[in-house]
Amino acid sequence: MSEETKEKDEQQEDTVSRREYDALNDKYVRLYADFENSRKLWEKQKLECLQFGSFRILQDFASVLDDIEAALGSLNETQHPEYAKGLKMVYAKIKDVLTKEGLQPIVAEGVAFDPHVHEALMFEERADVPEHTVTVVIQQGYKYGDKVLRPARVKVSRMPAEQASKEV
Amino acid sequence: MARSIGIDLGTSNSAAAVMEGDRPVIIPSAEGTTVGGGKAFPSYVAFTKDGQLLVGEPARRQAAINPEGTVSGFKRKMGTSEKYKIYGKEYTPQQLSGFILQKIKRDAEAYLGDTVEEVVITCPAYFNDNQRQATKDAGEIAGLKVMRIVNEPTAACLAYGLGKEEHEQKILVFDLGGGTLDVTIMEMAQGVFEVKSTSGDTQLGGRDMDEALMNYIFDEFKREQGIDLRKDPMAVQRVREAAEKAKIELSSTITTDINLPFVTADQSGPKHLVMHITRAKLEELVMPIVARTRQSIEQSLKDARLKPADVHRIIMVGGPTRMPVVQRFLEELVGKKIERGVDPMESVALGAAIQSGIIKGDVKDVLLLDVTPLSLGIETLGGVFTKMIERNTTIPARKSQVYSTAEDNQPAVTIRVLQGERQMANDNVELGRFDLVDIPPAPRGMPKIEVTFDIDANGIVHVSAKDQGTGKEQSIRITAPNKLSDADIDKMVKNAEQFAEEDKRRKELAETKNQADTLVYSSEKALKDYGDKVGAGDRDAIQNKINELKEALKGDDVNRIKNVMEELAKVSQKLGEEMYKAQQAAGAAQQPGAEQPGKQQQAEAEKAREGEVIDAEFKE
Repeated sequence: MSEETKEKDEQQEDTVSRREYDALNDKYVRLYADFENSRKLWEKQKLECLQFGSFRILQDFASVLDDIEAALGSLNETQHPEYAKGLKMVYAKIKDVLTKEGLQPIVAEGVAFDPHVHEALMFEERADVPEHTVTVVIQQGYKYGDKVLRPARVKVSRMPAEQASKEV
Repeated sequence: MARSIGIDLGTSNSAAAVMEGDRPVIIPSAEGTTVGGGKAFPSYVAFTKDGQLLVGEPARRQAAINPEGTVSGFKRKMGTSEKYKIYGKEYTPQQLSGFILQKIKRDAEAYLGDTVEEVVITCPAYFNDNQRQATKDAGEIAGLKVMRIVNEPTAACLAYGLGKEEHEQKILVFDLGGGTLDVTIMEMAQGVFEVKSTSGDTQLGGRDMDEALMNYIFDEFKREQGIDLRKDPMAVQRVREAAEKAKIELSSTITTDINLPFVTADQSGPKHLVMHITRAKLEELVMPIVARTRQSIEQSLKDARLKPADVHRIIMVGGPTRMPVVQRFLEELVGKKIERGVDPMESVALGAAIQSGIIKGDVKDVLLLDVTPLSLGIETLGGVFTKMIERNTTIPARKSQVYSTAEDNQPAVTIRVLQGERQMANDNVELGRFDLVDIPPAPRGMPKIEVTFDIDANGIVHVSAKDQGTGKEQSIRITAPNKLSDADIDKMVKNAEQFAEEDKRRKELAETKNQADTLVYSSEKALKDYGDKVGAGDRDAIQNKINELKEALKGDDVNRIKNVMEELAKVSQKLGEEMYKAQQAAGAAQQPGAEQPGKQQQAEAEKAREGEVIDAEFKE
């Protein structure tokens, strides 16, 4: 083998190993980037999981608040003033705990209907309020941060039929 | 870099998913949450009287008070010339679907923090070319590049990991949604899916099941209390929520309770709704609805010219198929187990995302890293197996731990490298062993021997032991640690579970014996050094107990050993006091009592430092 061909061979070998090195390095860098990205995702999901935990508990508690509200609604206060007082205290205490956890009641009664936080179940003909005003809250709604735990289920005003036809 | 996503554009609900690494994940809507979100985009579009556009959940919430401005179900009109007239303006089904896709694009971009340009959208298998083109147009209207339209059943199969098999397989895809049933028979071979037949019912779904359960609750309450709750909107709302919860719970439990205190009231006072519902009851209620699916299944089989026995796999799609009664019905009718492991609510969107990943080339060429099938470790004092690398650790992996000697002036240690899940060394497989010799004379527990396990990407295990005092090192290389077949590995893991209790007892015995042995050693040493400080009576009492403990150590009675250990500790108290006094007298400068723990802490610190070094190497 002449000196020249030997040198050529070595050069070729160099190019091959260089290419292999580049390919491997590329794979490694990509894998490392994947790893970094996964790590960021874990962090994000860990946070979400924590938030979701509160979200779910608060969602379950919404129906417990319904129960207490129903109890308060059916209680004869003049007949059992101390029971009423006590139950109201229980209600206030639970609400206080849940508020600290991030529960926010959705304001509904008397405001303009907003499908982002309210869910309309039925109409009520009313001439004394602007159209599409929430007249009755059938079920209280709640938010957690900027997310709706449960929309407020509401009754919405509609102009009485004869008045509406007059306008047209 | 713009991302590509998969979209399940449904009749009543839509969903979207994206590839995160090699796994598809569901994208939540702006209104929902990630975990347990399911199909998050109701397929509703609405215009308010003042011209505001609402899409998805907000549109659904105002449907009752704005029926003339709200549309849904327009997927059924895709590819037809039908137009929807809303407040004097006309919209094609493509445009309305476009609004849904636009909302999904917007929410996906907010979630991913990146732009979304390319998508895969799914459509029913029975969609013709016109309907497919309309679906594609809807994507373009939303400003998306539609890479492909994929059949919903095909996407579901992809989500379940099908498509890689060589052999031809017949698949039955059972898609039961909120209001529609689609049954598709497909033939699949080497990643190619061919639709053989489709059948379905556009008026059958989960909503009918919810109604059946609610009606049962209302009827029962009326029978018991004489009050019809259907007339009270607040009560209806509470029952609806409770029924939904009960239905979900009964998919995993046999019974559940519905408790709605103060649900209503009459002259006699408040009334509570208390109901015990069994899974059997729920199944009895929904069975008539489930049974109606039989006709579509039989029709699709007939059209494909197949017998139930010809079906290789059953794929379930849609929320209602989570109910055990639906799954059992299918399994009995076809005579095969259904495929499991993917949420049927999410499968179509997940499959669409996988398809988008395949097209973009994200999915292929994933570097597959192996894991260790069984734990690796060494034998330590008393024949206990101490794990160094836990099973299912992704390799390459490396771990070091410092051990010491068990006896005074111990000249050598034997490192037995073991593989398995049992707690005692001898129950596991020995991969190899070696001795580290010439350890300089020292009291037990003093020499620091660092044992390092290193598995490279090929599964070759290097084990080394180094005497940190002398720097002397010995190692072994095990080239084929996994000579075991999958069945062997399975057996070993099962054995470990089976013998867990017994192993625990044996390990406890070994550890108690180790403690007792240490106590004998330290008591004898203390007696020798400080025995003259206490009375002859105390000395004899201690010596007697030491002898008794030595005797107990010959047997295997854990309780006896523990009792004698306690007694010995009690009689040695006086000796301990004397030792303490002597040490205090020796002065604060030397503090011989603090010497050993101090060194141990140092060793810990060294270990931590070494851990950092390894990390740093890895980073570069």
